[in-house]
Amino acid sequence: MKPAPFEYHAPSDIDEALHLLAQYGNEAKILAGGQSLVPAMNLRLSRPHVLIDINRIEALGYIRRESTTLRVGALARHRDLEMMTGQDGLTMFLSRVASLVAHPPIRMRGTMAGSLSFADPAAEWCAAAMLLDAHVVVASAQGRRTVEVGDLIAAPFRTSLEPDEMVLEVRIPVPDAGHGVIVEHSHTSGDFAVVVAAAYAEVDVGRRRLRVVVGGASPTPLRLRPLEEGLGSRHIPDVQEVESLVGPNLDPSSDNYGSARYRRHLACVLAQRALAEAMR
Amino acid sequence: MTRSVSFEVNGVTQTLDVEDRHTLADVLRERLSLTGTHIGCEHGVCGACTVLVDRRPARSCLLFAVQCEGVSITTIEGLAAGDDLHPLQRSFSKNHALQCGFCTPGFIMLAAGALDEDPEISDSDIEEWLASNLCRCTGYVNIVRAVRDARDEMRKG
Repeated sequence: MKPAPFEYHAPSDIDEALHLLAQYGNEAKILAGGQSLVPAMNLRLSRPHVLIDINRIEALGYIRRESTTLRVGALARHRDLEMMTGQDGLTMFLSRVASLVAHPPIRMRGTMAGSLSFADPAAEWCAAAMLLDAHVVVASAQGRRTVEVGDLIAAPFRTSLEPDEMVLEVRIPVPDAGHGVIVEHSHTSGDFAVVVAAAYAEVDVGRRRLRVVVGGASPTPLRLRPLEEGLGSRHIPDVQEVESLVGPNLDPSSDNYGSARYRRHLACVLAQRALAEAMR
Repeated sequence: MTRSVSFEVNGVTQTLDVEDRHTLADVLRERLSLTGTHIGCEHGVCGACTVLVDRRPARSCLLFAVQCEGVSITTIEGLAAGDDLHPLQRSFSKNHALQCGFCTPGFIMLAAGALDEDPEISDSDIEEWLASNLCRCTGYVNIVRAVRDARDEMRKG
């Protein structure tokens, strides 16, 4: 199908983009990679009257490592993140997360910020950002604010962004030494994940910290706090233990890809795999 | 209401008046008569519409023509050098990597972009790339063979 008519704008800097958002508000959508938005427009699931193409704003295309924070600009593509070569835990984990997003041509255009703004409950970046306690810098013509990813992703495919706001940057606190694991189940390679699970284990002197998240088994990605807090420092639980600790917390839906019962079980299996691997 | 946009297609600058909502795929096919680029799903899943945009494979059904101001686009029609087929085209033919041919231009442009990015691309990375597009006829095996052969031939030359 063809998209409904719209008016196209291509601002050359952030202020111009924010001015357009202020002007058009909820009639407008930001176009970055377009790999989720344009399919929705072609299927007429989305019919913005105005499209604000930010691809000309070169100032947004960066991945910047500072001492305690990784800063990912709104135009950093999945492929840029996939191709990072650093051998530290965070870089290797992010590269792995990126490699699971769709397929190479889609990764060449799609962006992490776009993925968070799209808020698919089973999206790899939504799960990873929740796992790493990331926050996003959100801007409007009125100014900027910082939002934790958990507060940004409000419901399936819905964020807490106001109509005149856009994501400028994703900020990821650099974890202590350790490593992360992401696993997902999809029907074919590169397909949308049915369920995604990720874990990050940090080992500091005498101290372990574990974080675990599951996406696709609740309306939004869910940190599995009972697992994070409820395990002895070296104990790796089996699936039954994971199920009893977090099964009731999950709130999966049923659809063509699986029943709620299946998703709940799948989430526990994948969460167990991710954390077992992360803790090794 | 139309807007003027100018971009290069297969080495030739084209200036067109298009509606904002016209996709690059439709403009290539209907305005420039470059019907080698095929439209399969129109929502970014099948890859039949793949072209090169500034040398990178992109799904042209997910791009609006108005986004393409100043870019350089290569379609399947632009691969051959006159009567000399591109190594990928020869290899697809030799390896029987097409049956109905509908997915073929998309696969060839995808592979062309992959080989351009990394001429030393590994066998497993070739498969990772080729998993991007859908083929209902061949079962993919001959497509994989064709791209590997083209890689090997292009490495020599």
